[in-house]
Amino acid sequence: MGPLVAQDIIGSEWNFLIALLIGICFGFVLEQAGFSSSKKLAGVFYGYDFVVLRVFFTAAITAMVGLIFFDYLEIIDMSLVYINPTFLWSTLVGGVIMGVGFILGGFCPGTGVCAAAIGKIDAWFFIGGIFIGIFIFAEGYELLFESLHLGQTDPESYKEGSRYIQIFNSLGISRNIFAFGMIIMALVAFIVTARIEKGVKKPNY
Amino acid sequence: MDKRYIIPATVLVILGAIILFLPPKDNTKTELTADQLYLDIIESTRFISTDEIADMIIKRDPSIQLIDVRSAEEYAKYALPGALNIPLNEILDDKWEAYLDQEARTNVFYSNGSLRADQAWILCRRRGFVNNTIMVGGLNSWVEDILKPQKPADTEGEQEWEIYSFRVAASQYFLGGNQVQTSDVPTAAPVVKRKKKMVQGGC
Repeated sequence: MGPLVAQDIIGSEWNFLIALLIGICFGFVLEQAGFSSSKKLAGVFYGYDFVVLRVFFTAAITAMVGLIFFDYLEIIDMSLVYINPTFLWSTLVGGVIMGVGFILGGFCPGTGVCAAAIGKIDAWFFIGGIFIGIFIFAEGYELLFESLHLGQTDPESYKEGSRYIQIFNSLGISRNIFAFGMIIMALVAFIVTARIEKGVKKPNY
Repeated sequence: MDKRYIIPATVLVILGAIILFLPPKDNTKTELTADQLYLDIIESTRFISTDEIADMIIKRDPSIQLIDVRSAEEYAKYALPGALNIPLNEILDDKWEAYLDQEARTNVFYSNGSLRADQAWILCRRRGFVNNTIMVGGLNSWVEDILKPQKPADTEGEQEWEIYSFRVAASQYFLGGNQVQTSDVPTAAPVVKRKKKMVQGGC
């Protein structure tokens, strides 16, 4: 049955509408979970609050389990679902920049928008910074970032789909075994972070 | 760890364990639906004429692979040069899949008529294989058209005569070169082009 747009069951014009609805729900959940406080996010790095890690890890494995079952029951055809090509170096560098931004700003882009929506001034500055970053990246792409983005490889190889690297393929294990391992990993992370939380004094927020 | 997390955590582990033991999926997805198959069957590009085949064999075109779907005995008696024998009753065997499901070459099925080749084609198409075609008329047409070409009527157009002369040449190629035939293709009288006279003088 799915994916709906890729199979022309609904027109591609629905993309934005559906994205808007999901985005509103996502923002609502983030805000009511208290994620629009920068102290919550910074807590992951200082070790007093791991709710952010728990929420996003839970979301990831829930979606993973759901998609695997949906794919198995042929409700969604995963071979038609778009997967981002792998860009190793830009992912590593981008991840470091994003992590530093997390600690510095206390928001991730999603929670930043949430906090901006409830009128937090630091979040407005954070969003402004995001746009400055986007501007620098876009304007400096050809000059600075293109070689980092594409690496040494032939740009054509990205188009042919040979860059869709998946961890379980690289490890030589099946997708389902990897999924099970991922669930166990998440649960271990939950237990470990709960231990750490106990040992660290929570600030008032 | 908080006690209220125990239930969701257990549910996830159970689901993960189920994922771990999911039986492998049936590979039925590659098979075509009746509608799609119908659309492919009425498509005329799945046929190749005997003339095209003869031309490609003579030119040693590496892009085609002839596949004889008759029985092994029939194949042993007579087969087209370079043809591979995949009898129709073996067409679903795994050992032939690499030949039938590929994108490098165009397979051309042939049998005595068109029937068995067509059946082989439909079986392959149903399994989602592409690049398979049928030689129209099979070996019957091959003998009639290529090996024993009929001389067209004198009133036929130039194109018919061209086809005929090709077939005569092809039959010599396939039957061996010792039976040299005199060309009975009427050669058109050479057209004498009259040179245009340059305009004399200048303006």
